[in-house]
Amino acid sequence: MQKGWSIFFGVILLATFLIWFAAPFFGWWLPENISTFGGGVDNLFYAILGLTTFFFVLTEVVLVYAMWKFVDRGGEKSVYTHGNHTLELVWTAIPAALLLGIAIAQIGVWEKIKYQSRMPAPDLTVSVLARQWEWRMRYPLDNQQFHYEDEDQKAASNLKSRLWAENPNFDDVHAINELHVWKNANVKLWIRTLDVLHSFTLPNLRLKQDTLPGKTIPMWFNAEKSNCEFVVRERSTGKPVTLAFNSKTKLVEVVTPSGREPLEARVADLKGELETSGNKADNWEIACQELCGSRHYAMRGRLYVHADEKSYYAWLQYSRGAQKATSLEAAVSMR
Amino acid sequence: MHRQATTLSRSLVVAAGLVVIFLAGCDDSNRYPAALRYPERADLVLKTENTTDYRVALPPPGKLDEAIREAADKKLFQVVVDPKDIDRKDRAELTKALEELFGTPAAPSIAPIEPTRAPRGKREEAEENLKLYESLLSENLGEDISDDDITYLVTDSDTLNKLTVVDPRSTTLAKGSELYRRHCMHCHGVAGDGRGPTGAWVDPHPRDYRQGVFKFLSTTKAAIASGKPRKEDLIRTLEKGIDGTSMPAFGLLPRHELEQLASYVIHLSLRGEVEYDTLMVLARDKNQIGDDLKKFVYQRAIQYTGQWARASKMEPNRPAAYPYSSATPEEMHESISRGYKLFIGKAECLKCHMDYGRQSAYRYDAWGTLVRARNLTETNYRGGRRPIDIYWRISGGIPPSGMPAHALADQEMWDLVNFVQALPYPGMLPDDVKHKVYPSPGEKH
Ligand SMILES: [Cu+2]
Repeated sequence: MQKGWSIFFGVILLATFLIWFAAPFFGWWLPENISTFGGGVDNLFYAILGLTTFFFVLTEVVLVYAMWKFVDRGGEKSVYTHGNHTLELVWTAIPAALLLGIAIAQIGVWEKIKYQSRMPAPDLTVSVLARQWEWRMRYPLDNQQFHYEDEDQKAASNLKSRLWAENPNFDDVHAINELHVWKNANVKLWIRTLDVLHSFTLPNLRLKQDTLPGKTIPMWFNAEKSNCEFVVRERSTGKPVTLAFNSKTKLVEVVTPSGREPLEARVADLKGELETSGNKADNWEIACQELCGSRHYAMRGRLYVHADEKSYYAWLQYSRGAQKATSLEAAVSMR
Repeated sequence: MHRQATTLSRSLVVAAGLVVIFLAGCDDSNRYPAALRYPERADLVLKTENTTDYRVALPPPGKLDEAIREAADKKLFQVVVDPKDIDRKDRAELTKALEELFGTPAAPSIAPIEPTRAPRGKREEAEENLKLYESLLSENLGEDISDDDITYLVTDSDTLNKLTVVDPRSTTLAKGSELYRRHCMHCHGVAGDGRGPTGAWVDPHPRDYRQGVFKFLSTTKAAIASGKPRKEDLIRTLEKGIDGTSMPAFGLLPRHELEQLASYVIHLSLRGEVEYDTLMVLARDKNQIGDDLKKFVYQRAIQYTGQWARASKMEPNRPAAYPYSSATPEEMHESISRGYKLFIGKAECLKCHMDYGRQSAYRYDAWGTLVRARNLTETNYRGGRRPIDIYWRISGGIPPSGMPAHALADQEMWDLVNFVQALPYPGMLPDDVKHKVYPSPGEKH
């Protein structure tokens, strides 16, 4: 029974390994990836996971075996060794080579996600302001002002949109804890905080950025899958209305027999709603991943990727109309 | 050999124990312990008249009650009652009556429980309580309030739609109490006193519901004398949060959970206000109560329930049609200019919002804490940023913090709203107004 301890540790290690191995089958794993660059992040993750698993299993097997084999046999004296130059060289050189390999392998992915010079021209810009304990989003009515075709205009456009992020416009649309974008859009975010450190995390996009007091930090992504559509109905009858979208001016209009009217002006008698699949897996979360105070756990939001640009602008212009409410009828529209 | 076997089995026992503790920790019920009672009010009971401005510094964080006591000692409040000075016997009677009416955090209610649901041995007492409550109802509730009105107040639509629920009122309140414990209690406290563990540390301090007054209403005091909010007003505050304070938005919670929370807040506020009021009367005008404290408490509870139900039945203050829906930029500028003149003139906004709020002085609010007129050059609006929200703030005022209600002509109201909305954005202001509000360095304002 002197070998009891090696069995005990062996069993615990095996159980740990099996729990970890079984976790994905119970849904404890990375959420679905929906971003263009998420695959690269996942590949790196799996490569590193494979490496660490291999060495974890190897060292633990050696450890348990050594405990079993060299357990106190009574009366025998232990032999101590000092320094083995070759061995030390080997266990320094192998990890160093592996780390260097990882460092080189990740450059491409990091560059694509985090290098400001590589961020594409935005189709959509959003300002994200963190505070204890919520995310306050702000959307410009006009996204064209920050768009550019020519790389020469990049710096100027960047500055302009950053100034907008720091100085709100009169007609910006405000939303709390809700990030709205559309499928295949290049989204640019400006991340700020009003108080302490937070970490703006979009697990489905494999994207994460700490907020630093006093800093306005850019982020970008492009979502390849959508999870919602904005549908507008007559408030009185519940019938869906037909919307027309001008892809040049981005104006969404309600089509009626008598003509067209901007959606923004019709919120009092129309009801706009986000339609989702209702599937739990399609609830894409925004999380704070920096312990930021007593309600840190509640600092969550929702990522809505609209099916297309038209749905997004319908939501945006409807929300703008609701935000301009001057009558009781308009005041019941989407808060 | 034997010794090692014991060590092994001992460590296995320890490991098993840890697993048990770990699993027990994963209980995800949010319910309050059944034995927990609402705490008796111990902080000062105040009546303040918020008219005087002070050039003071805010007290250091974490010193809420110390600061109130200090101001009370300086005689800054009209009425100060220390619950310590109330006769112990009266106090015990009040506590008992409150528990009969409002239950416990785990089993909240707003009226005595049905005798059939009371524990064995307490049924007779419950029957008496209910009889007393019902005998006082017609006289104290008001003819205009029906049972349905009260049900609306303390029931969420989801529970109401489930026919199998025996008692939708207490079901809603019990669910509300679980949600409250999870989301609100750490700031607003078990009794809704704004004195939860984190409450004293945030500025402005979390709302203390126990006076039955709230700030952001869609009605006016002229329409609802009690100054109670509509249930919808509370729901909107929950949904949107209060920008510029520590109150976050709970808009991602489903609608019925917001309703449950609002109902539970109404329950806490009712309980708190009955306690507040009875303590006031006990300390200052005990004759009013006579020899039946319990009856007095029941009467007050019914009266305040009626006030809440009346307010929630009310349609929000309906503004006159907005005259500028299709205004040209020039017309809009003219409206903003007129609004500016009202702001500095007739409407007397500048009196409190000094330098457009940049230099506002502090004053004491209804709860004895320091507040100041909002800095309107910033872009956050606590009660909402929509024009109609600002219209409601101006027309109804914010009575608990001293912002008066304003009766202006229809067009004047909208001119003022337009100006207030444009105020934080220099680019939106006509040139002459811009120079007044945002003078360039060296220019005098
Ligand atoms: Cu945070």
